[in-house]
Amino acid sequence: MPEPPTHHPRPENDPGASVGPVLLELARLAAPVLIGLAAAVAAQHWFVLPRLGFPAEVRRPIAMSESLDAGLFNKQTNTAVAVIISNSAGVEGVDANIVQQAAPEGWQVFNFSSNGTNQLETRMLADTLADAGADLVIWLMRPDMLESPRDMHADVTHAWAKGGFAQDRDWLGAPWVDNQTLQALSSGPWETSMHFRRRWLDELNYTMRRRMRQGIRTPAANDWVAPFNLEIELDGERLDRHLSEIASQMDAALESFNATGEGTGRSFITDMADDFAQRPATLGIIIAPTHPALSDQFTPVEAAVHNFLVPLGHRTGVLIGNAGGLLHAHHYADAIHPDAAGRETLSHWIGKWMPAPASVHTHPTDR
Amino acid sequence: MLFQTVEFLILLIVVLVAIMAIRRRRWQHSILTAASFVFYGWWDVRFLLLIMLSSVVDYSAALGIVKSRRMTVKRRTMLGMLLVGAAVFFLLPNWPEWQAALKAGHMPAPGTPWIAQWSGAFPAIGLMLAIAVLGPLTYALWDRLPDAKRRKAFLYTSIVVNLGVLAFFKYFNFFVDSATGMAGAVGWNISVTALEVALPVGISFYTFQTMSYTVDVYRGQIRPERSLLRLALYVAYFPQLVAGPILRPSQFLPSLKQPWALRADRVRSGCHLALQGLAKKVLIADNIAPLVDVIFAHPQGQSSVVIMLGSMLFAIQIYCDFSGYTDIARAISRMFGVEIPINFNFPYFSTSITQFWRRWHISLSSWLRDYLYIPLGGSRVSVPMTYVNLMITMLLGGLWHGASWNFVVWGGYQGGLLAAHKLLLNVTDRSSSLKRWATTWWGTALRWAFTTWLWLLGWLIFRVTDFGDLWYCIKKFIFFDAVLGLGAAGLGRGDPFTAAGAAAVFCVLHGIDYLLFCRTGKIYANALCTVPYPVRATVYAGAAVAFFFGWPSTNGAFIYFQF
Repeated sequence: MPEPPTHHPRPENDPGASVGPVLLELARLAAPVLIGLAAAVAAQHWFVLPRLGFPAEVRRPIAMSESLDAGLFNKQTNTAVAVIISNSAGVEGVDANIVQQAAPEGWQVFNFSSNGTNQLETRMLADTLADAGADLVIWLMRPDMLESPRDMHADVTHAWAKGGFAQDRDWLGAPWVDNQTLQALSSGPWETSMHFRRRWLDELNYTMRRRMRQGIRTPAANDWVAPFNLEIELDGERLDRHLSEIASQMDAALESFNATGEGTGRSFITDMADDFAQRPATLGIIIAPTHPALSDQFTPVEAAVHNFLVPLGHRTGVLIGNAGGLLHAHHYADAIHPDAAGRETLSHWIGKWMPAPASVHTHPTDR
Repeated sequence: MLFQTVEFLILLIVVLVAIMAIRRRRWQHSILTAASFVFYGWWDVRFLLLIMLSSVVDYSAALGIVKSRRMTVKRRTMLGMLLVGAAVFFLLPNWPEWQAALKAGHMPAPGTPWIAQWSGAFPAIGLMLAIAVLGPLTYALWDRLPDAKRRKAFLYTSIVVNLGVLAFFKYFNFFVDSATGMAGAVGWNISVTALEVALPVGISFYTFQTMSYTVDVYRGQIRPERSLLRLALYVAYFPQLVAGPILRPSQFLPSLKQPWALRADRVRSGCHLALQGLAKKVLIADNIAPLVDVIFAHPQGQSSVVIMLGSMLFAIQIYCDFSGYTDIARAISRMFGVEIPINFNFPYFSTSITQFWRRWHISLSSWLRDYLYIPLGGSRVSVPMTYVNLMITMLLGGLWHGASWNFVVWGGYQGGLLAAHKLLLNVTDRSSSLKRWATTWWGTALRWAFTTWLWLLGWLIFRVTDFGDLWYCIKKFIFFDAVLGLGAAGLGRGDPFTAAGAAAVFCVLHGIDYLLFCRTGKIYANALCTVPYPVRATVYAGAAVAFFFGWPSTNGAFIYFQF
């Protein structure tokens, strides 16, 4: 049986490889590309980023570092410094003035909360505050923070690197952060510049977003007393949607909530408490209030957190408070952030909860 | 391995250097095949078995069809390849964890076993033995059949194996889910365990490509390839392996008859095309994607304006994503000296849906025409059967895109449109005034606008997989509600400026590219080859600046990889 005829077209004659011209062609392409890249890098580092600054979402941690370096805690005689740290619940829910007024005499109170702060950022900030001379660091902790520490967003990582929060933190590393995050946390100014190379686009997007959406929260970068700026209150369907989002987040957090051992949220907080037991500063942990509409889901969680924290406090000297059921539905602007009335109530409660300065000036393990 | 990654750049440089340095064809083919296997195995090395299986089966089937006694590869070599592949596939159950860890530069978590437990290895060994016995046995059996039967037996074996692998990996769970769902609807509770199999990247593309080889040999259109290495290179050729264009053997195999060589003019032209493709992918498609995702994550409640906007943005995204990939694939191949045919020819300027399908994913639509529509009878049968053939072709074409009912509906929608257009043409052909009107400028504009509206509706069906959401979107798309509602749509979360800016830039540049093409027959990448160097250098530098500031921080996978 003969094989069928071929229909392969004949390939065109190739003059053969010519290395020189090919390399020259590639060089003629690469040279302007490299010049263009160099110009872009220079423009980004010396013009775009200095002019636009860092994104609004990450300005606050950088400003914290700058303020501490500038000597924010220059204490007057007979005053002690208390700093509240938290995520957006603390930004919107704490007025440091009210806390100070309600607290025992002798406290100077600051609110260093920042949107989206996770466990790792909280600890880096707490360490930095303790190093800067704070006497009492109060962590207003959402109960889901007992889950395994969450990864840091890349932008945030570079902002915390810029603020120098990761310097000399020997606990940073496995199992809490992977190599990539660790590298980003120790990045220098050039790497940070390159990371924010889409900054000009972010700025335009942010401007457009603000025109399209109401209620975008951007706390004042440099306000350590009253950073809150929530503009709208949700109700009806939008509030229900927000409540359901928070409930889903909690469900996700519960997956690792009860885990113990290496890399878990419980071991992270234990590690932090043990570390503070060795420091002159005192750590306080307050369970943050949750919306009553979520109480079915949150009340048992709060109880579990409380049961975990109280013995830890006894052992390490960490002060424990529980504001879980403090606020009513009308104290909330949405599913998670207190409104003005809620802020006043919570701030007052924190102030009343705070011990006298003299009781924290002693090293906790001596008490 | 994605085109826009450093790993790929390294692989490409190695291959380019190898082609420059090595002049022997066989060595070049070996290096290119090895590079193609590295490229594909980078996702999951186990799936190389499937490519090897396709290559070996089609190689043998084609030789069996012509009863060739001149195999250049011994059967035990092929068998060895398959057994090694099968061993990797079945005996290394935790390979993905190992591969991910090794790629990240560390060892996998302690305690991760690298070889299957004995209980897991038994079925694997059984299957390997089956391959070892069944392959040669089948070949020997078919080889003794009379001529016509033998040819058909080898052809059908190739088709069954190729489609079987495709059906198993891509459609098994889909058909099981659909069957249990339907049975549940009529009150029968059937419990069938779904398989946890990952979809091999690009499986639909290379399956069609390799099937066309056997069919062409069967039809006598080409000679069977005597070298398994060359056939494996045709099946696994890395520039177009995972998202096409689907190559025909006659478009590729002849280029292997002589050594490949780099030439300065082809390198220049290839670089321009690659630059154009990369810009489409990372500067346009990837910058639009986040907003499209926001719109279609929860489409219920969105206004008509938002749904239309989503459809338009998705149209731009998928075009730039897919044609960007094709441009890069063609560019790389052009540098090697092999011209891959175009896959897109300004489809969004089509004035009819038939024209659209002649310009969109050309390699698939022509494949479906040559290997499905025409064998079914095409338009050489009765008029009703022509429409049935058209519908079958488009329904299967839709299903080719993915194991989901929305793709079937999409295929049916396209088939319906093509049938309607065919019907309409029959009517207009009889009316000279209608034909005249259709060629006036406003007739053309109207036809373009209506065609655009139709394929935008089609993209909705393609993109929205949930039928409740899809029905809502279709209603909003057809019955315009004239509500703006951009803020309430949550568009603020999807970087609206970046997406709108990228879409606007695309519309302007693509329009100019079309005009340039109509006047000169050249697209940007080709036109740039002939301009003076200072102008080119300025474009290169400008492109570098644009990529620096516009490249998204995460590399998005190409949409068509999932098909």
